[in-house]
Amino acid sequence: MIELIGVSKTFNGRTAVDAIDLTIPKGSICVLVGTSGCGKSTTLRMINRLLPHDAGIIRIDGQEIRSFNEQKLRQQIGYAIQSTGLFPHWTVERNIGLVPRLLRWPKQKIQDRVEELMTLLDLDPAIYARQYPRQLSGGQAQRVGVARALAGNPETLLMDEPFGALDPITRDNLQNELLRIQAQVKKTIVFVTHDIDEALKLASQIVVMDQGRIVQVDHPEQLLRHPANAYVENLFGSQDRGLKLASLFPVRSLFETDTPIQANGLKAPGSGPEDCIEATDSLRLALSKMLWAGASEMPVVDANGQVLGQLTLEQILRANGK
Amino acid sequence: MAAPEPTRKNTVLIVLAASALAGLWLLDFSSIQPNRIVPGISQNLFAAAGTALSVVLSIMLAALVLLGLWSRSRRLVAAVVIATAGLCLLPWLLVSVSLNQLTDDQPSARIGLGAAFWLLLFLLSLMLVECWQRVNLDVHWRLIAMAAVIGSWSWAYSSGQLEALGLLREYHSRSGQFHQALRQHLLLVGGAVGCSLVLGFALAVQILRRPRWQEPVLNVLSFFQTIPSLALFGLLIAPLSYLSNQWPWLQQFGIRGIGWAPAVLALIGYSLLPIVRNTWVALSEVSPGVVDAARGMGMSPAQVFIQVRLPLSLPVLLEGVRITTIQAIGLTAVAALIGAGGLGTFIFQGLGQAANELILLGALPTIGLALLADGFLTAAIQWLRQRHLSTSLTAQATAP
Repeated sequence: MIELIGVSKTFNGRTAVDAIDLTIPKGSICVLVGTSGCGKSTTLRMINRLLPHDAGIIRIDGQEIRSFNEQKLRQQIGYAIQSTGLFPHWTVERNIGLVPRLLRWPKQKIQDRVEELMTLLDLDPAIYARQYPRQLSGGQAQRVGVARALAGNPETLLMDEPFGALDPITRDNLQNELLRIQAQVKKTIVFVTHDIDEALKLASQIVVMDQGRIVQVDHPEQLLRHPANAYVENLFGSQDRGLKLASLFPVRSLFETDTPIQANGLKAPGSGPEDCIEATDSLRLALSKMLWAGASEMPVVDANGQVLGQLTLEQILRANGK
Repeated sequence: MAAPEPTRKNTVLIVLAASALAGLWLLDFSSIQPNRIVPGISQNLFAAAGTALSVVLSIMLAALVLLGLWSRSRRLVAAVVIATAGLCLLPWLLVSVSLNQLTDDQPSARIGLGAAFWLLLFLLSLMLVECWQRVNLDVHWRLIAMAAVIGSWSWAYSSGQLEALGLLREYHSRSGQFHQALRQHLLLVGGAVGCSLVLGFALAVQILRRPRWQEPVLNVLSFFQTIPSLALFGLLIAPLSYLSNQWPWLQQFGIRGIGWAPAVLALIGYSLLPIVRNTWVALSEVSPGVVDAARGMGMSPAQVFIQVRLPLSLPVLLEGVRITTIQAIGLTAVAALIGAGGLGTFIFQGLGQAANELILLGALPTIGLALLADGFLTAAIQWLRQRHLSTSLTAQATAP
């Protein structure tokens, strides 16, 4: 758990972060959003003391961060940044093994850990371990960056626009990877982005910042439904909030909360990806498929292609509108 | 099958080969002096080394002209081979001159090197470099070519037939002095470069930490560079003699108005600018994202510096060392004027006695040292860059 109490930061008389209070629960993904210069990166960098805070208290698991040795503290906190910050003169292997080496793990343990992380992030150690960062694509480099942040097995992970420089498809892939990994490792992640869709997709808690202050802290759904002011409403897109909301819920969630639909156990007829909705699709994707097909209802299938039931436009409208 | 590569004119090769051919026939290749005092009789290659070898060399140069007229990458490889062969042939031309022209009754006769010899040496080397750069010849082959040339020269030397060369006669009559001068030269250069490396590195780190100092420091160092070397050597004589008179124990270390002390000080003065500037640029151009990540991962400032900043800036830093070393090798030759010793001693002695061979005895090793230092450091820099640093300076900066 990370607690910020009355934390402020001034640069040459200009207040960058103004007495913010924030509690980030253990195992959650907390995403800081806001326009550039709102203080989100500054807040993140104060947590691992890359920037010293001028006032207030920052605690990690109840301990004020100033009570730690600066380097020891950072070795306990994973850190991933936009430009990856990979060391160009080190191999992938050596880059990932940095923090374990700083922590003086035994050699074999470091090597095992590096291989484990490369496998976790879908990088074949046999191919990539000995390569240099310049030989990697942008997406691969960022995977290495995330693996390096996880290497010391930190409880906390700070990520400063880690996917900001990637193309939309790679970014989407890596977001899914992060959610998959988080489901396995359950870290406390503080994530800075200016991409609202990314925030909505990843966050269990979104912190909206403006001019060094926290404007609203809430669950994505609540933020969309009840924005605290015009700034938040604007940031989250006043016009297409409906679609953004629909993208938060998988079709599956509807089937769990609604009256159970009878599973008839039949294979969907001619089930191409466009003719039916997968249970893991978001309501937004389901809506799009229905709009495309011009159909007001469509069969829903699970991962094995088993039909779970019919999803109607009516159901989507009811779920989204409530 | 792929269409054959079209031929192109390689103007550089044509001009170089044609000039070499013209020089070969129009200029004197060597001269014969009965002894050190009497002026020599100059001869062109045809007269001096005999018809056969002259014709062989002429055919080789003509072939190079033709290869230049209809050039293709495969043919340029042939040009590399011919230029290498030409450079290998040069010492044997001198052997032939010695065999043809000298008789046993002239024990102190000496062979002087004429304009055509120097022109051939120079132009053949240029053609070799031009062609291997054009075809992007592999480093191993370049080394083999150089080894062949050096091997041929050593072989000719060990045959004993080159002893009559004026240059070697000068060398043999003062080989002890020569080795001492060479040692002094290397010590002066090594000491000056070593000191300015330590001092320059410290200065660069300082101005990196305190940007306010950057302009004054670089300005002062640039000012040093604008003082002519001879003037700086001279300017240091007065203060150093004053110091050594005030504190005589300084003289025990050889610190006087003249000698090695003013030379090393002046050399350091000249060396600091390239070292400080390159070190400072190299260190400040390391991608901020990389440094940010290094700190964020929990590396201590010393670890960030030694493991990240330093290795990433090493190629540019070494570039500064290279410039400094070459510059210092040349300037040390001038330092002989204030009694610092070194190879420059022979140059100034030779100038005083109008003995060309003596001048060469000082000048050629100086040039050789500079080329050697340049080749070695350039290779080291290239090796470092190729290894892993090609993109170190292009990584993007972090967003604020």
